[in-house]
Formats: sequence, structure tokens, C-alpha cells
Amino acid sequence: MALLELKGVTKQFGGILAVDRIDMQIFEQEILGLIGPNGAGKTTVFNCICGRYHCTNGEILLQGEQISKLKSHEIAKKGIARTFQTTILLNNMSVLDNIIIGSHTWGEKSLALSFTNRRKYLRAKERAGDILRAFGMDKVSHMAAGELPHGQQRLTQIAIAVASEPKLLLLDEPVVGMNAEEIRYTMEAVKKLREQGITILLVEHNMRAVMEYCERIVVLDHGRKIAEDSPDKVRSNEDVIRAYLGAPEHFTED
Amino acid sequence: MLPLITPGYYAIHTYTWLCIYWMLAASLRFIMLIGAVNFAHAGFMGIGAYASAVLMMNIHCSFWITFFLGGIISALLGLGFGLITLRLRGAYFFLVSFALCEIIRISLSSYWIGTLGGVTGISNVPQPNAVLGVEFGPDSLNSFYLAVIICSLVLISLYVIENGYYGKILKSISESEELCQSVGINTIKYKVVVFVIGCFIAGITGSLYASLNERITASDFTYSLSMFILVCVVLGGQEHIWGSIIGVIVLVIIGEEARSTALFEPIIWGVSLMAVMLFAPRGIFGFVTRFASLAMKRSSSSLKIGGDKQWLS
Repeated sequence: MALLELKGVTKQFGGILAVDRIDMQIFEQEILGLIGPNGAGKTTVFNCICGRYHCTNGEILLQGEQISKLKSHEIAKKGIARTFQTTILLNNMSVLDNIIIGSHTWGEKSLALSFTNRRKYLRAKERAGDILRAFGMDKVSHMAAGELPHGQQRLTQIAIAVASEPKLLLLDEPVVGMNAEEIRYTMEAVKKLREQGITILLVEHNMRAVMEYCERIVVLDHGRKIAEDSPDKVRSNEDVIRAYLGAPEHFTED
Repeated sequence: MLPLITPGYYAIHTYTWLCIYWMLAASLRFIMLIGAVNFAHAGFMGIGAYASAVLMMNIHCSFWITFFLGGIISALLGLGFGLITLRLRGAYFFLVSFALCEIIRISLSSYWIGTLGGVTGISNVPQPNAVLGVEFGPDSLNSFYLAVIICSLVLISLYVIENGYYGKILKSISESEELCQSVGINTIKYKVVVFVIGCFIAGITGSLYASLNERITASDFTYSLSMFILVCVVLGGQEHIWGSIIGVIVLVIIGEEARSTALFEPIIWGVSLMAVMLFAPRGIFGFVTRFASLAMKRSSSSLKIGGDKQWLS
């Protein structure tokens, strides 16, 4: 069974149909790429899944359970974590605190009760340290998140999402604005996360990263799904080339 | 204790007022942790004061019960108000709370005049009942100690809440609600709870004030009191509870010094606020700690992404 299933998801803003009857399945432990030209509706699909928007029509099922009516914090508790296209961090708090806040839903009970349960808070703190070490960021754990360089801010964003121990991780352009080395580093991290059992939905404009790391790719154009296939087949799909890439050279350069 | 050093009616009165202002400033700052500036704080204090006075005089409840009832009634109003308005952001919440403050003041002075006393308010509010032989009179040393004890308990609890994990959540909500929701924090719930706690404290402060002052009128609880408390918090520095404490001391001293020229008092608040905003935007406390930390600043290490290649294993 699919981990997440979208059935006829439609989102309308006034007269504009941003997402038009999309069916999509995400299977456990895969990296699914979601691509499309600007304005294709990728981020809208994203926001529908994580509850920021409620879809006008259709349903979203997480392991068979209807989640399309839930609020974003409830969906986060169900095990869907997300990152943001424009970095949103707790800029004046330390990187470690960012991760601790990220682990809010981790564990049996919500951490808020650790006001009376100090041991649990300390465990969350220790775990946040482990997560930062895994991302190679333990040296900056006490810096304010807002003072980090761009690449590390993007990584922190992912680390916050990972801290909640999600089943499904939605990455919205994780490598935007990074250099080649940073992109490879980040994508390797994403791959490691998948090996740990986290399913990943990746929205990305960087074709190299998508083609290299995704097993399957869904292509959107004008709110519709125009292709769903392996990277190689998507690469040669006529519709995709016409709608999105313009020219096939796009895939072969650098 | 200070009144023992500088005894006298005036000193006791002033120090008792300090305690009242500390409670107000600390609770206002507590609400400001979630990024909401509650301009109705004086109104909530008024609700507590009137509730306590009316219950004591008409139903003859003991002060020790009405003290909490005043807080609870104020908190209930805060719950209703907060559930509706805390979804508003920034200046909008501020404006709505400003309106609420005026609504409370006008209601207190124009409705149920038989009970609430209209514009003349309520006089001869009963004093706290004697406990274990300790009597409380107006401007007595015992009343001052009572205010000190209640004030300390309030400040300490707020400090403890703020410095636990709960406080971290509040701070993160004020930084980014969106991020908090995305990691599963029900931000509106936290905001309402914080607001209700703040209103409860404003309410019990009102109860205490009603008895210690013996007399309350609706004009005690206008927006200018809210303004005064807000200036205290900003002037002292919002980052730490000490800021509020310092801000109150500074402004009460300025106020007492300027008493002979009472007309100029608001001007002095305004000027000192502007001076702080210009020269020390993080308030007096922030200004002092910045100098202290500059002295021990450590250089930050070089930052290269993936400094040492460790990966999730």
C-alpha cells in the first residue's frame, strides 16, 4: 500500500485552478521527485499535503487515513514533516534549540509536558545533538540560526524536519542557491535519510539533483500531471520536453 | 527590607506600588513573549479589582478567596477575548486590545452603577482578613510584606515557565508561527494559554490593588496605565524578566521625582522611551548585558558546510 495517496486533489484559488485532479502515490522508502515549470502547482500540492491549504476537492490519504481536513500541526503529528522554499528558521535561537523545537512531537508524549519532566527534555536535547552531528553541524550548534551561512541554514531546515521523526519528509527546493559541493552533500544526506526509512517527496528545480537521486518523478504542468515515470523515461517523454524543458539539451548540460 | 531602612507611610506606599507594577510588567512581558502586545492589560487588572471588591462587599467573601476569583474572572474574559483575537497578528491585535481596554473602562463606570459605583467607583474596599494573627491595614508594613510575597511568587513562577521548555516554545512561536505549526505545535493553543495566564496575573494584581488601595475607580484602569507598563517593559528590555523589574524601578523613580511637575510625567516617559529606542533598542537590561558579553566574546569558528564528514549512520 502506498504511504501517501492523492486522489483527484484539486485546489482552486478564486477562478484560478492551481491544481487540477491530481492522482499520485508515494510508496514507502522511495525518493519521489515532483517537478514542473514555474507555476505548475508543485508548491500548492505540497501545501495541500501538509495542511496549509485545504484542497477544494479530492482526498489525501496517509496509510489509508484521510488527512485532507486536518490542520497543519495535526498533520505534523501524523508524521509528515516539511521544509520551506524560503528558509524559515528561529533566527534568534541557537541551532540546537531549533532542533529541539523540531522534536516537539517526538516520543510518546508531546514535549510540552517536559515543563514537569526535565529528564525527557534533556533526552530531547541529547538527541538534537546527535542529529546535528549526523548533519556534520555539531560545531555550530550554539550559534544563532540566523547567523549561519546560507547552505547551513538550508541544512538546519532539513534537520528540524527530521527531528520530528517523520514517516514522510516533504522537501521544497532543498538545494536552492547552493554550490555544486553543497548540493552533493545535501543530497547525500537526503539519501541517507531514505536509508533510515524516511520516505521523501522532493520538489526541486535543479534537474541534476532530481535526475540523480529520485527513483520516480512526477511532472506537473498547469496544475495537471503530465507524466509519472523513472528519470530516464521522463527525460525522453515528449510531453515533458514540450511543456517544461523546451529543448532536450537542458538535461545533458553540465 | 527597604521600608525598614526608610520607614514611613510614603515609603511603604511607594514600595507596595512597585510590587503591583512588577506583577503587571512581568505578566505583560510574559504575554509579549508570543509576540502579542496586550494593551488591555490595565482593563484586565480592573476586572480583577472590581470582581474582588464586589464579591467582598456584597457576598462577604474572604479576601483570600476573592483574590483568586478576581484572577479567574479576568482569565475567563481573557480566554474569550484571546480565542477570538489572538489569530490577528502584529498591530491588529494591539488595536483590538486597545479598544477592549476602553470598553472595559467605560463599562465599569457606566453599568450596574448601584454595585460598581459609576464614575466614583468603590470606596472602603475591605482589607485582607487576618491570617494567624497577622493583621493587614492600608499602607501597613504587613500589607507591604503581603504584596512582596505575592509579587515574588508571581515573578518566580513566570521566570520558571519562561526558562523551561515551555518558554522555548513561546519564543519560537513569536519567531515563526509557520515553522512551529509545521513541526506539530498547536500555536493558537499556546498563545491562548499564555494570554490567559497573563490575564490571570493581571486579575490577581487588581484584587490585591483593590484591597491595598481601599478605593477603586474605573479611571485607575485606563490605557495610560497599560501604556506606563508597556513603557516599563520596553525601557527595561524585553529579553529578560530583569528588564521589566529594572524598567519599573526606573520609571517609578522618575515618576516620584517628577511628581511636583505631574503634568510633565507622560512627557518624561515619552522622552525616556525614545532615548532607549534610539540608543539602546534592547532596553536597559540588553544594553548592560551587551557590554558584559562584549568583554568575554569568543571568536566563532570557521564555518564550512560539512566541516567533518560525518553522516547519519
